[in-house]
Amino acid sequence: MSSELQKVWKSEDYWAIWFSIMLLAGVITGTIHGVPRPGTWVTDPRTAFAGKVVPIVTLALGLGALLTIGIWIMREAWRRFVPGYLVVFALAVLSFVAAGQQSIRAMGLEYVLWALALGLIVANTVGTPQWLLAGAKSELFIKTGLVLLGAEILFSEILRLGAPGLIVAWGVTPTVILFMWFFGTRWLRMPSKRLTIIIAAATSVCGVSAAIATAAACRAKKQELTLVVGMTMIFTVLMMVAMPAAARLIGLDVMVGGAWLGGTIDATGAVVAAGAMLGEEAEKVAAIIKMIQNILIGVVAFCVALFWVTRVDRDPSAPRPSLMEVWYRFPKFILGFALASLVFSFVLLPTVGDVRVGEILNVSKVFRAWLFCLAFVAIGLESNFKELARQLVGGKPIILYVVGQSFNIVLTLLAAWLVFGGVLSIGAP
Amino acid sequence: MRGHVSRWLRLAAALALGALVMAAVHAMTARATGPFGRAWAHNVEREINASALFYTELGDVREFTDRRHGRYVGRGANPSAGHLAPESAMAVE
Repeated sequence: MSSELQKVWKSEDYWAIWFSIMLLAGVITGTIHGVPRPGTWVTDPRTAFAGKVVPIVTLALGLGALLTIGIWIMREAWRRFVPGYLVVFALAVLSFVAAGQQSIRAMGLEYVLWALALGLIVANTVGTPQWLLAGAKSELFIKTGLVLLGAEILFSEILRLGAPGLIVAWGVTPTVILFMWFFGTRWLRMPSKRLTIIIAAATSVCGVSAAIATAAACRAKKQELTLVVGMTMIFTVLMMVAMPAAARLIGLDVMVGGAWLGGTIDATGAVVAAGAMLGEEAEKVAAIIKMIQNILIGVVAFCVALFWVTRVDRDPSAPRPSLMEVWYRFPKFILGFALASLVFSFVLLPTVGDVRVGEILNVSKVFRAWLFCLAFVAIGLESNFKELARQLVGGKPIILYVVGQSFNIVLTLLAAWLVFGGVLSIGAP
Repeated sequence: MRGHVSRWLRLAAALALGALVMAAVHAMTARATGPFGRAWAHNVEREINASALFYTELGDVREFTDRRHGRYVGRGANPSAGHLAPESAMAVE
């Protein structure tokens, strides 16, 4: 018991929660009223920094100081962390700059891809020196980012988004996850159950963000997450272009088309871009369906963490784990992630109002983006191409993705047609 | 020593390649035809952030949370919204 109490101050899982509480408290109280990030640019990358150099340096030092204090309390080598962290932060800045280029943004190439690429380039050319690895705390960054992401999952919002959207998003998503899980583990016999569930969540929920949350929940290998992120992004770019064309070719109703895109395209930005190609109404329906799916990420991450602790990681010959054992083994930052969502949805939203919550999230989301960006730079620095290639042996991950996504496309089309096509009479809220 | 230099050369080459890819993408977006070109041009024209990771990254979060004036207020099933024109796939109005 005492060792469990010690973990409160000594483990990354808890520190992800403490860091998030501190950052969110700063934003809610108005102490922190803005977080900078490089802006968009067309031909001159220097314009991404217009008026932002000093704020970004301040952020690097402030966030670094906060993380260093936590690392010092965890009794880790904080002196070695600082120089490595500063380089990782610099690479994260470069990743945001690359992702902020107008055409890159329009293509849907997210900052996590650039962060991964930059990390991988360094690791596979000059090699990542030990002093740099000391600052590449990928798990700490990702866990803290996830708890902050929890605040962005507003459960109360789904009530007003409407039953039709809920049926399309929440009816299809669990079905696709289960289908892909059984297809991957029983039919394809994927060597890694973790990789199977990450691909299933990324395909059916919301791409990269779902992959991050699920990978953290089942404590997947970094190479597995890297592979899914790369694969999801390639297919997202293809689907962003192909799906609106298919909707037009079939001659779908605008609402059905929007719901279809929202339920199938993985990344949120690509959903909006694809929806916009079908018109304003389709864009809004697509965005709302995606938002409902985004909200599902919390439920999925929680269920995956619980399933892993109670089933997958359990010795089959051992008796059923007690509640206390489940508690000991459960990843605590997932609880922080769920708690942040519940507090923002059911305490903060009714107390301070929807507009203020929007203002708070406008700031906290940038913190979260920085932490995810730092995490992916760190993952890239810790990976090598050979290990990544090993994950793809036999092409099973790609087969799982393609089969699962095809099933998703058909099932979502059916659900969208039934609900938004007027076949089932389900009214708007 | 030679190995050390060649590692740094590989890094420089990889970064230069990355910069070239970015420049090529930018040039392609301005001139590309076909479905990809039209999709990218549409996103640039409408300033759509197609690379958003989560709904909160699409822009101002208040557009989602503001129940009175938000962009996504009161969207439900509306089967009378019309059909998509099949003849002009990917057409941008």
